[in-house]
Amino acid sequence: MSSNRILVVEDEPNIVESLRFILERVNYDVESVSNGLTALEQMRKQAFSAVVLDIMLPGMNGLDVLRTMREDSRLSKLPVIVLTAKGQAQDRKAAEETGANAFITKPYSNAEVVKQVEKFARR
Amino acid sequence: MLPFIAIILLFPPIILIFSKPVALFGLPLIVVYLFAVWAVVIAAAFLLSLRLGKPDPADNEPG
Amino acid sequence: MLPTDLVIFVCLGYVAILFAVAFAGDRRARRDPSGWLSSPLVYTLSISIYCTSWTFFGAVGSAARNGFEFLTIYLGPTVVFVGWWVFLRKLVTVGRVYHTTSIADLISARFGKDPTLGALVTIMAMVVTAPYIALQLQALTSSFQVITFHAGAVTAANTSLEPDFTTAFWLAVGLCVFSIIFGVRNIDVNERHHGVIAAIAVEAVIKFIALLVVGLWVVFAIQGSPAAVFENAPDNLVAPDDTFGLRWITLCFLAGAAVICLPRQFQVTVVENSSESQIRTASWLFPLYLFLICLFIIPIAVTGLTQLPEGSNPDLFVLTLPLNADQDMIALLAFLGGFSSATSMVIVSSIALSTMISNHLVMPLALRFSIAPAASPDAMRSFILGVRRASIVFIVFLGFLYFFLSGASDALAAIGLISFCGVAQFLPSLVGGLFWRNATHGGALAGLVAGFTLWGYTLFLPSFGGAFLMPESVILHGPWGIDWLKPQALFGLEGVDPLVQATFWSLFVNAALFVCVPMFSEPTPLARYQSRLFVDVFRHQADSELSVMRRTARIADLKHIANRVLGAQEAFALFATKGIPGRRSVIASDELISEVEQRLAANVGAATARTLVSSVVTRETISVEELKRLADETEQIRAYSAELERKSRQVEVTAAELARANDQLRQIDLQKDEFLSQVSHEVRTPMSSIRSFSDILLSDPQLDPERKQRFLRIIQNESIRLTKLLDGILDLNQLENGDVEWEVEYFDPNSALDQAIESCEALASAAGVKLTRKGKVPRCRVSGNRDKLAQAFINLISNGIKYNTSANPIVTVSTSLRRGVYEACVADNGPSIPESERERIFVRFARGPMPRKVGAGLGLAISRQIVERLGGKLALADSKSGAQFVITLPATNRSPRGDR
Repeated sequence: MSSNRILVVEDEPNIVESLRFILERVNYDVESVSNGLTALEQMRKQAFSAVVLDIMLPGMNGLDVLRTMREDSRLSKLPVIVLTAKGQAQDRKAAEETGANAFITKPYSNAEVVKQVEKFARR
Repeated sequence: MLPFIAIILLFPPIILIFSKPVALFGLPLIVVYLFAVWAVVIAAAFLLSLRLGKPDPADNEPG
Repeated sequence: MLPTDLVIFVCLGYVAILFAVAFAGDRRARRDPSGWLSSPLVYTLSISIYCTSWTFFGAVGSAARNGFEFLTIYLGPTVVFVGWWVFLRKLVTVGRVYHTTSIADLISARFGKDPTLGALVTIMAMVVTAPYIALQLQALTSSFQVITFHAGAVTAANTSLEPDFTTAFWLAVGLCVFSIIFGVRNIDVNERHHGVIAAIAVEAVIKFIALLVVGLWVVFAIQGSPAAVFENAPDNLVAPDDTFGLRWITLCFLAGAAVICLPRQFQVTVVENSSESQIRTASWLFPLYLFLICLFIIPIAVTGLTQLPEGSNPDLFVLTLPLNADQDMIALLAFLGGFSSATSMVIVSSIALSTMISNHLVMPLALRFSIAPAASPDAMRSFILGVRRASIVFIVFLGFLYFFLSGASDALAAIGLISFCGVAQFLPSLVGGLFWRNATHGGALAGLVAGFTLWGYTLFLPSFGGAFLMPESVILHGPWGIDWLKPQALFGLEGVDPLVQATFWSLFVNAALFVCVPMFSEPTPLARYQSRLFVDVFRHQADSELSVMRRTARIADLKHIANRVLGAQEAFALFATKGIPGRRSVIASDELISEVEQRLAANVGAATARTLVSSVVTRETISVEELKRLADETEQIRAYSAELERKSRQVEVTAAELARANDQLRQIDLQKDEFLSQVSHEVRTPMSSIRSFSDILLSDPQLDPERKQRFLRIIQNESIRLTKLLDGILDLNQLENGDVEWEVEYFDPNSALDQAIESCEALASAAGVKLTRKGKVPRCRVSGNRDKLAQAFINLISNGIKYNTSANPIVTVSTSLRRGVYEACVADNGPSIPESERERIFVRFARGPMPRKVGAGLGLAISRQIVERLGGKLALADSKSGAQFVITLPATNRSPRGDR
């Protein structure tokens, strides 16, 4: 089941707003949640073509969400673009090993986010 | 050293060299040998005691 | 023959002369202790009691039977004496310095003054000596019988005479009387017997002259020249084939051991020694004496064998040769020589053994069972003297009994060498004790017991030929027919001379145990100390026991003991020279105790003296420090290595401390890294918004104005947030380093709270939060900075406003003052904070459980720093709903200056 719906998992409201604006501008539907557990709930409820995932989340962190997704057969193929302020090499490595499809550090360029989402999201 | 020399001279195998039926001045060699060694050892001990005695003449401990 | 009356008369006359000499010697010695009686010559002559009747008569017999073998008995001692520097000097010095009374005393003293060892050595010495005394009695009686035999000496020597026990008995009595009179007159310091020694010296001269006269007469009167002697000599005296084998070595060794270990030799060589010059002279003079004695043994033996009828007893050649030639005067002289050598041996042996028996057998038992009279000072002395006299009689008559029981059997003839082997058992303990520091009491005891048992089993008991204890079948076939237990071929050692194998087994096992047992046992401190004294006798003569022992005793008690043993006069003199006042209950010094013990030891032996002194010593400790100081090199090394070990432990401790410090530094470094990473993260989040929205605004100029406005506001807010964050970081850094001086004043904390509420009211009303204040407390004052405290309050109140998700949000501020503690509480009705988060929220950049709206996450950390710097506390109170932060500060009541 394909769709053009994107899930943004992010607890900073301003960042959510900016992501929603730039993705809606290129005709994606954007759903947003502010913590990991709700994010997993949403993913299981409806189909998304990609997930934009923050790492530093309250409660369950982004890597745990990613790991859970990769272990879940229904979510294992869902593309994930990790978007984090933790920009060091070991963070990138940890994210890629866990199964992230792309890794973008904050502050991000809007064009880069759109490019990565376009690359992985199945319309 | 003296006792060790005496032991070497008076014990086999050295002493066996002189244990032969040969006479010296009409005396058996072994008799002459034994007593000669003995006498020399005593003489050496005597000389030694003189030498050792001199550096310590006041060796007269009471008690 | 010589008339019996004449012989008895000469004997009595000779004995009378001996008595006179002994008396004169005693008197002279008392007047002038260092007179000619202490001369090296007299000392050497007294050592020559080594030459007993066994030499005087037996050497000739031995030469006639076994050729050169008899020489070993004199070559062994020669080696020991010419090598006096190696061993004898040390032995004699130890004996002299530590007032040794007998060989038993020396061995027991060396191994921790152990009474058991002393008793054991004494018993062994008794067993070995009694047959030897019997041998002397036999020699005396048979020589008397031969010289007075009515049918002529030669016939007498050929007939096997019934032993004359009556003569033997009266001889024994006479010897007892002499020994008692001169040997046990006093219990003297050092146990020296000048009278006896004088008489012994005279006897030594007599026997020497007698043998020399007989020898010269034989060589020059009968044979004509030395060479003539050997013309008809038997083969074994001209060209011996197998004399110089194992038996030769063994005999030399045994004789060398015996000249030290025989109780009588120890008595004259060690106990009676008074200076080193004596032993220095004896080192050549004694061998010379032996040399001259031996010089004529072979000629006499050869002449006896060739001139006397076949079957004559070669043991009596010295006597029968002159009698055969009717040289009565020479015969009488020879008889006197034999008489001298036998009596002198018995006298000295009995005296030496009586000292050992009284000091090591009777006194320890008497002390243990309190038999020794303690009533009057003199009773103890006379008790000891009585014991000694009884011991002499006991010893001499033990010999007599032995003679009586064994009769004229051949058993006696071999006893000389058997005795030598018996006393040689003392050698490992004696030599080891003087040269080996680690020798222990256990090793000595085990070695002595095993060696002596083997000696008894392989040599002594078989020598009776089945007549005593050990039946003949055992000797021939081993006990219970067990072959390898055969006494004379132990463990299948067949074909070796019985004496050689007995010597080997007994001394081998003895020495092996002596060396091996110390590996499994530790010496007592006293034994270790004694070991040091004895082994290092030349190095530490000046040291005395007092430096190691710490003992306490009352002088009166010590005096009592000294009185009992030494006699009132000597005891008084001892205490007088020490300058001790006669007052009672004065505590004796260590020095005095040691002195008394040493004096007692000179009389009753070290072990007994120790028991006596210990009975009045109230406290005894061995000073570890002193022992350590005196310890030998090994122990010093041990101490050194212990020190090293201690130091390396210290180094380890230091290293651990450094490692810990390093860990802390690394921890701090990690924290700093983490802090930087946190700061970077916290900076990146607002930067993201700023960048993203500015991108949007730049790339999309067609944006509707409303949206444009909103995005610009976000950018502005995030910039402010960034600024606040940086301010907060700087604040926190300053607070943590404490390097910024605050203006310190006394102020009313309520004024700070008022200030905070005031500045938060706008925020509260904007967020729709109700901010209330409860119960204003009486004024008080705290010390610190008002603005900082206000900042802390603002952080708490604004947190309560920002994170309050309640539908009807309220933030309540309340204050109180209790017992000098000001307390301010900021409570909200928002979500409560879980137990696990309560401490964590005070950490920098910590995130609450809810999504963060605004704020850098530094507020609580900064507030806590401020409050702590004011000497107070910031904590999260337990609450069922919402969060409740409490600040407590130490406060004083209302300031006199009335600051606000």
